[in-house]
Amino acid sequence: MATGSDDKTMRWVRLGSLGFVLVVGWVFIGWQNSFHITPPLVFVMLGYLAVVLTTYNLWRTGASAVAQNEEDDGDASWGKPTGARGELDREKRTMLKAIKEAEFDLQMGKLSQADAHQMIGMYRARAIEVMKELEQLDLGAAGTVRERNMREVKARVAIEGRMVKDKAAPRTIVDDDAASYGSGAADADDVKTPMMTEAADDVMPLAATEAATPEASAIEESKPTDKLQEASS
Amino acid sequence: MTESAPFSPIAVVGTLALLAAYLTGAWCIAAGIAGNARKSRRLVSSSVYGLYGFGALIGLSAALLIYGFVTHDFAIKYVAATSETTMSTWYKVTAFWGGLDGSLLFWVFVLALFSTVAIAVNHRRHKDMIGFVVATIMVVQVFFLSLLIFTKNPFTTFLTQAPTEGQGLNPLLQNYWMVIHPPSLYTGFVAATIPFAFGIGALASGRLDDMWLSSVRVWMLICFFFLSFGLILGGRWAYEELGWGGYWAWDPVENAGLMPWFTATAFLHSAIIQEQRGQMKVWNLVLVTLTFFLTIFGTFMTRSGAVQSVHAFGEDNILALQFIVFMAVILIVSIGLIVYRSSKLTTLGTFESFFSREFAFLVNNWILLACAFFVLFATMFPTISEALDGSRVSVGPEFFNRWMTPLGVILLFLAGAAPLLAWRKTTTQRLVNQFLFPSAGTALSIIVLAFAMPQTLHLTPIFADRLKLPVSLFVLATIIFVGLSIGQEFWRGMMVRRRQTGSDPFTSLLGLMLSKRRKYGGYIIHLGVAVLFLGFVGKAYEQQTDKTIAQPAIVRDEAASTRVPKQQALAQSTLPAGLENQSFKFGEYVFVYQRLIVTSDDHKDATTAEVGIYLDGEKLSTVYPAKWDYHRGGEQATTEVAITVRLSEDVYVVLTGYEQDSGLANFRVFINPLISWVWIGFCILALGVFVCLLPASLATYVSARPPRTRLGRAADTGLVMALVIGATLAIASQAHAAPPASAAPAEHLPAGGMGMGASGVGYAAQNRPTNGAAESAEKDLLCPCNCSHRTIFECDCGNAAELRGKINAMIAKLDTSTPEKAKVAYDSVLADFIATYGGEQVLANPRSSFPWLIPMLAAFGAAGLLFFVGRRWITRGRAAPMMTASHITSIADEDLADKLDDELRDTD
Repeated sequence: MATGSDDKTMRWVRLGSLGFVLVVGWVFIGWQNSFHITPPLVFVMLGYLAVVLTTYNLWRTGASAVAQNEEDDGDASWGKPTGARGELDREKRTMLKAIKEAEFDLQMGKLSQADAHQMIGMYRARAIEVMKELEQLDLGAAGTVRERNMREVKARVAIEGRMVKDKAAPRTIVDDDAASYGSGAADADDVKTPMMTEAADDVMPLAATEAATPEASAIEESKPTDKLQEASS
Repeated sequence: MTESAPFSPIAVVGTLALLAAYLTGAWCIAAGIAGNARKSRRLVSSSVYGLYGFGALIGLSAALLIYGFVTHDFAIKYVAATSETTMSTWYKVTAFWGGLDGSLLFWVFVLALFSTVAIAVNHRRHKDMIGFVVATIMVVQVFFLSLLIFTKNPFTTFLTQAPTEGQGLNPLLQNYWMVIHPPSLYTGFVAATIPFAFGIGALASGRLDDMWLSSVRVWMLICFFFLSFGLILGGRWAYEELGWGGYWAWDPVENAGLMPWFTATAFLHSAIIQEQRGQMKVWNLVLVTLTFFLTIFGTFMTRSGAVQSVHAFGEDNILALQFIVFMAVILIVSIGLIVYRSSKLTTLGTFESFFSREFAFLVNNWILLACAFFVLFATMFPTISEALDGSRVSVGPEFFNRWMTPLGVILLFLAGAAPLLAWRKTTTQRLVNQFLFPSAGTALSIIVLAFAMPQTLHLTPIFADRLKLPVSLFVLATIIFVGLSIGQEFWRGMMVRRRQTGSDPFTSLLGLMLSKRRKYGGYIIHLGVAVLFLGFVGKAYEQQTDKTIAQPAIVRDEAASTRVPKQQALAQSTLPAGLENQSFKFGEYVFVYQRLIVTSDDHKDATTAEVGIYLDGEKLSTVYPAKWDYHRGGEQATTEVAITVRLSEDVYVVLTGYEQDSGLANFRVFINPLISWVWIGFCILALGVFVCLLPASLATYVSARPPRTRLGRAADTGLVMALVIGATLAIASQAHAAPPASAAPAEHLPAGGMGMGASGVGYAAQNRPTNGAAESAEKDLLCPCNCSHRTIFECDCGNAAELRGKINAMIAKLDTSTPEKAKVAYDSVLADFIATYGGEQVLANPRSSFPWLIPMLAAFGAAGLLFFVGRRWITRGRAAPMMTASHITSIADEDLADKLDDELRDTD
């Protein structure tokens, strides 16, 4: 950070010096011409500006070429590689735009309800796949299975919490909200409810052992599955 | 005593600056390529700063050259050739780009400015390819600099005595529109370099995701705008300055600006497909390369002598060879890189329906490309024919219009139809729902036009002589279709937005345009194009006449040295009686020749006619057509036309000849229907571009403001719209032809007149055609004087007058009582001229079937290919396994679905 602020300071010093030289030069030129603004004077001043900018930029050209880099010039420090992550980000944005476009076309009457439902469903499915892949990229391969289970647990806990609320106050039906296109979730909730509670209980200890070794984690990760099998049998 | 060579410190420093820039450019190329190839940050940074330094050096050269103009440094040849001491400062500055050498330096200067901005904005975002981008830009710059330094140095000085006075700028260039036309056109040309450089950078670095596309799309839009602006300004200049009543003649230099306009427009559309569907990657790279190539080709055409044009700089074989080598390098490198990276670029082209926006865009692209290649073919055909058989066959406006008119109408139709289609596919029911209103309105308008304006039913040949259609009616109907279609889009979009936000209509409309700037800005551009076509339609109904009036109403009495008005009532607003000999009727207007005014200043001698124009007995305007004879402007005087502008039609008066002693004047009058809509159409197009270029931050700012009362929001909306529209109209209201000098007593009266024959009648009015066969023949034969490449019918020189007399005499000896006999007479006249002048180069349009056949074959072939490719892609698209909306397989997916919903809510 200190280096960053030093660079910023130097940048302002350079620009300030540049401005100072420019202003002094212009005042001198104007003074030599009694500050009588004529076309030749204007172009002399523009020429002086060009000279100052030329000097500054050519000096920076040379200085950059011979500069000693403090950072490694390898791939890690080379700009901001987009790679797979960039592609996925773009694809996600494309899917979002496509969904909004399809919704707008539906409301404009260019798409039928059925066509819009189908298209938006496709785009949503792809967007969710892309988001999954992005999460995998963020986490790397090592934590994939474990973290997937953690998410699963968190989601189940959240759903369970909602179900408790729903029992107290029934949820209103959403009509043309975009979330209705992900209609498969409702079925999954109903089927998995009995197991969810048990699974959540079983996994809780897993959460407490987050700092365990990878081997222990692998053993722990197998536990919820075993419990599920016991519950189903 | 030997004369010492004149010394100019400006020339020395200027040349040194160019040399330094050349070396800097070479360093940038090396550092940029090496930096990105070896992933060396310091080399890339060095190349970027080198680009800025290069720009500063070119700026210094430009400032020095203009300083030479304003200080009258005639030791510099270029300054002496294009400037004089009596010129105004503005024209001295514009003389910078008035000649070939300066125009090349101006090109380098504008590209330096653009590239500085483009690199400054993008170098952090594209660190992994910016070195290649800088290198590509610098290759172009170094090429032009090498032309400047080694062959066309604008700082070259005289070897011996420098003149004390310059030759002055070409009088035709001393016009307001010529001040801004070349810079805008050059800006358009130069702007195409930036997308090309990014394209090459993406190919060289292998970073072929869509990031480069989003960076270049804005620059291509800027290129499109400035090309449009430059073309319209050129048309306006031609309309006001050349005196032939028109604004576009398919001149090679005009076509040089039009060809990249087509490909830039195609790119702006196909880029949307790549963003939406991830397709057409190779196509977009090809378009970017082609647009840049065509700008270089256009520059080559106008500076090499490959084509003949009044706009061209002249013939230069060495320059031509240099350009040819450079263009070959561009093609080889670009195509080579595309082939090298083809594995990363290939996408499976799939469409689902012919009735989809994707397919409409594809058709639009093909037609735009067809237009570009047709214009290229037709422009180069005289050169090709000369290379093949030694005779330079001319290709006139009729040849261009027969092809470009129907292609233009199809494009116009697509401009209205494509917005009504949905992405992927549009079902039959939806098709009916979308097209019903615009189609019904169009059908109704066709019926109304056919009855109310039967002149729209006039048949015009398109593609070939035998195919004749009521083109005007089709064009007007298509314009109405586009208007209704775009109007429907705005209306429905506004209503949707209103339902979503609960705002008033104005605010909803503004919010719609801000949130979907690209789409609705594009719709406004389409509307602008439709209005342009309205102006084009009027060209088919223009009228022209030539009249000679022996004496004006007010005659100067030399003996008394006072003016003796013949009629006292000339100042009144109604048409005075008893002026039959001083007036003539044409169309609905009566023209009264009031007096001839002769003035003189340091620059020129001006002879101006004062003409009153009356409509229905009331005075419409007083106009002052003139001839200006510049003291240093060469032998030919310039024509200063007088235009009375009306929305329905312009009344265009030209003084083609005069006799000062007697006051005799020869007038040519045009009535140009609907021509004002051409300029209005461009203003609407400009408004659309502004909307597209609005930054996202502005949209966010406006939409993030705290809620207010409806009245407050409507007031905000109205204010913003007023500002945007006001800025657009401000462009539209800029200058018109300069008003004439006041009728001060002449300082001297040069003897004789101008444009007059021995009979005392102006050349333009002499031997006008007496029947249709003579008129057709005169319109199809070029005047051999080669002045402005006009036909014998249009030209107002003595040669043309003599030849018209010859044609009239030939026709008079033949029987023209029936159409067939008239055709025989017409053919015999043409045959006689071909025999006299040794070939078909005397014809305004080619007669042989070869030039007509090639576009025909190409058009049918392309249409067939388009259908075949489209059908294949659609078949592939329908056969491909459909991405179905998969059920959420895990609870965690619902979590992601919720996140997706949150992101959708934040996406506008």
